[in-house]
Amino acid sequence: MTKIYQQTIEQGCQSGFSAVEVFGEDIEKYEYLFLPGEHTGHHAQEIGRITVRAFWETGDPVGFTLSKPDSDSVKKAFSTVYSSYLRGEGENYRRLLPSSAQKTRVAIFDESFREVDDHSFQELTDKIHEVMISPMFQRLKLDRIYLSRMLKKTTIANSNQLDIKYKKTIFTLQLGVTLGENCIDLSESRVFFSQIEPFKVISRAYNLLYSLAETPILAEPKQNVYFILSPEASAFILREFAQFFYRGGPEEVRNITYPSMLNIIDNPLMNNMTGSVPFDDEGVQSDEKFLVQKGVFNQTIASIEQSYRYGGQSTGNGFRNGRTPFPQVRFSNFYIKPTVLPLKNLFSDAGEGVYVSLLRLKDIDKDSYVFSGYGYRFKGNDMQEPVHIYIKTTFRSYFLKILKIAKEIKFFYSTANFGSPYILLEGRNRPGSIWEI
Amino acid sequence: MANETRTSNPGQCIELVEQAEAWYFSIDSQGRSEHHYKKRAGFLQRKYDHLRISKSVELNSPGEARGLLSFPVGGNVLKVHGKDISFSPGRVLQENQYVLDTLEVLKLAEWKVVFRAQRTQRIIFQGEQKEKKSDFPYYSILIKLKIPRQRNFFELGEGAVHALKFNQNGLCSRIRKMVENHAESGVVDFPGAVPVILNAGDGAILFHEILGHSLEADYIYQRQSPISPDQVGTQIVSPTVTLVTRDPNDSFFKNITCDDEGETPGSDILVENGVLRHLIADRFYKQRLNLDSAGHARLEDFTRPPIPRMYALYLKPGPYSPEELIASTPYGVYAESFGEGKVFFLKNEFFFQIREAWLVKDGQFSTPLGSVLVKGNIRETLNSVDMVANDFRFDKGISYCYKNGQTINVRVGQPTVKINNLYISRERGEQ
Repeated sequence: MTKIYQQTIEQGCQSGFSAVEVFGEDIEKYEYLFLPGEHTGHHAQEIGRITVRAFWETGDPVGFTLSKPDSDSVKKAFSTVYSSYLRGEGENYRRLLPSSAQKTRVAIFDESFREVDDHSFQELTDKIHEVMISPMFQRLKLDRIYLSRMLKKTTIANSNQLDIKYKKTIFTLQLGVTLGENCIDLSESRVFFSQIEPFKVISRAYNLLYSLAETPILAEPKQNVYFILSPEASAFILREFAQFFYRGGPEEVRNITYPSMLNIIDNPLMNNMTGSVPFDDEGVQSDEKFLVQKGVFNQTIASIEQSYRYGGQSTGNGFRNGRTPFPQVRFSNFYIKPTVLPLKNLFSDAGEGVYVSLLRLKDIDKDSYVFSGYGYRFKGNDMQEPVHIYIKTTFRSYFLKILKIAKEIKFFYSTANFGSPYILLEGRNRPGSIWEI
Repeated sequence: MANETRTSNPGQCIELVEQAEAWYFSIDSQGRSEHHYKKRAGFLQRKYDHLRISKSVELNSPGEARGLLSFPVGGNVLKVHGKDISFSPGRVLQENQYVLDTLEVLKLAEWKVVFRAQRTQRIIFQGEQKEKKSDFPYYSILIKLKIPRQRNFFELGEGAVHALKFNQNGLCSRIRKMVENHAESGVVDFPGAVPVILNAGDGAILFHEILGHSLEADYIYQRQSPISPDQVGTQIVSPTVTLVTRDPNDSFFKNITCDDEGETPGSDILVENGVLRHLIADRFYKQRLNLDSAGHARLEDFTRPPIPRMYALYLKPGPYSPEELIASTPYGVYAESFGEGKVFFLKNEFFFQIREAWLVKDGQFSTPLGSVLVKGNIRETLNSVDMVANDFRFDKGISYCYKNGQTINVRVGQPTVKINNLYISRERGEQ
């Protein structure tokens, strides 16, 4: 164990705490910003800090975060939180801190991290410009390119003898692009630099912006309509509904008979994924978890604190987000499992309907979520005019209306990674311009 | 690292040393508490050549920056001054018991009270012998509450720079009013544009969003803002609007005597009787746009480079009494407290949330409306500032601004203001 982690645990115990957990992060990050026709910006960060969670015999834990600490600053911090502590009398969850972890291999570190330099970023920027001048994307205007590479070394140690560490790399490409009066910032993060594919990001931006460009609101007297949600639109809904799968969350998650082809999974051990980790920020290991399996509810996710509060065990989903000192519940790679159906089958089965490429949350009113959706009408395999619709749905109704799930899957959103294949659903219109799923 | 950051031309860079200390304590309706202390220090160097290279390094203490600075500094220069923040959760709970008791009595579905005490001290070097210091102590109470049968949490609070002491009577009265407003809220349709009366104080967040950000030099240089540099000296908004960045009666940013690049703005006036006088710039964009001054560079912490941001923004009072604004409104909305807002410059649109709204009918307060969303066209709204009252107030001290991934404290203030031609709906914001 690194000296400072050992000293921190020892000092915590000497200060009268019953259990101590140390979470350390050393981050090396390099950012490159390119604004066309203007200038570039480079920013390098070296961050090193520890966050401590200390438990008394009873009551809620206390904590502190220190920059590059030495033994003296750790001692002072323990004495500071000690002297101002308001101790509770209830039992706490210190006994649930893990004491060991097995070695787990997951591909989340790019060995070539240090070889990715200004030159590599310049090459990628040139590639983006090449793609942008193709006739296909002529109407697109590039506002900014942001590239970053980050190496994060994480260590977790506790007074139960746990001492584990891992390192992870993340490369991010973010493009700001404009089409007419609409602009969009699209970002893709990857574990390996070679996985960054600018053409795909630009195509995605173009498809989204084009569907925003001409957007009459679709309101017509037809009763039923088929929707095909893009992976991005479906992952967006999944993200909005994620909290339903937190332990202690709404009961309705358990009371639904989901479509039998539906499998909802959280898996921190997927290779090459930005949401992957060998263990969570509390040192708890886990692997593939079926939250819904073949249409049957299976389990929720929890951190140590939630497992203590609501029963069961931690599912390895306790993560710190930098702003909150104590771990919060979060997914790793959370996704709807693809089937074997190609996308074209979804189009042929539907015949005609609306393809939704982009969704934004418009409102939540009691149990109903209203999304603003942009996309295209389709007939057979042909995409027709762009449309803008409002879709109202509930957690229950959304999953019950899923008819088909395709095989092509994409992931979005970086550290908590949400993924989905294309999805076919049946909806119907209501008076006005809101459609219902 | 130390050798890498040395530069032969210190005038072409700024160097910043920071120490930040923060306490966080929360308690919720189930008796759960969170108590956390944070102490961080770091160094930032930013160069102003064409490459704009910046570096930040986390340190154990400000003194460690000695080896990273481009030049030698004397004995006490890297010491941060001022008395430490004292914080005791027990005392905080005892002193704010009235707020906790009020929350208990109201039979809410859930609540959480968060207390924060923090202090950020910075030393900014523009070269040898040119260090400047800034000090920002900040204390806040934030109350999150969930009313039965409502899915969303509502927030209200208060911030101060002197001590962890709040106006508990005022807070409890606001909590009760918010709960009543939402419990009794009616659904009212607003088929077209209506006048909106923004309450004195926090209402100025609208001017921060739609006018303040429009004056930021990076948005102007990148042609995202509806304002262009050649509009300086011309009428850009209704003549009832005078916006300034300093108020001698406000102590909120009193110990921040320079921005995060060590600069001070040349003038406190941004807009005078509707005429644009100055833009909001940092050193880089001052040079790019050939402006006469900078002084508005801000960063969240040493890990991020500074960008053009607002500190405070005050709308000067006008001639009317607030009652006259209400009485002159046949059908409109009164906005009591505010949530998030967003500006879409290219679409010339904005929205922001009113967390507590009232219908104004025939010049009088009518039905409570709960939360509503206000939308408008930026240019049209700026020219529709109809009446400005004489009851100037500062905000409650918990205004924040998010830009390019950095969240910072901002300050706003204004008297009651009536703006025509805004659109009201019950939605959340969307692009």
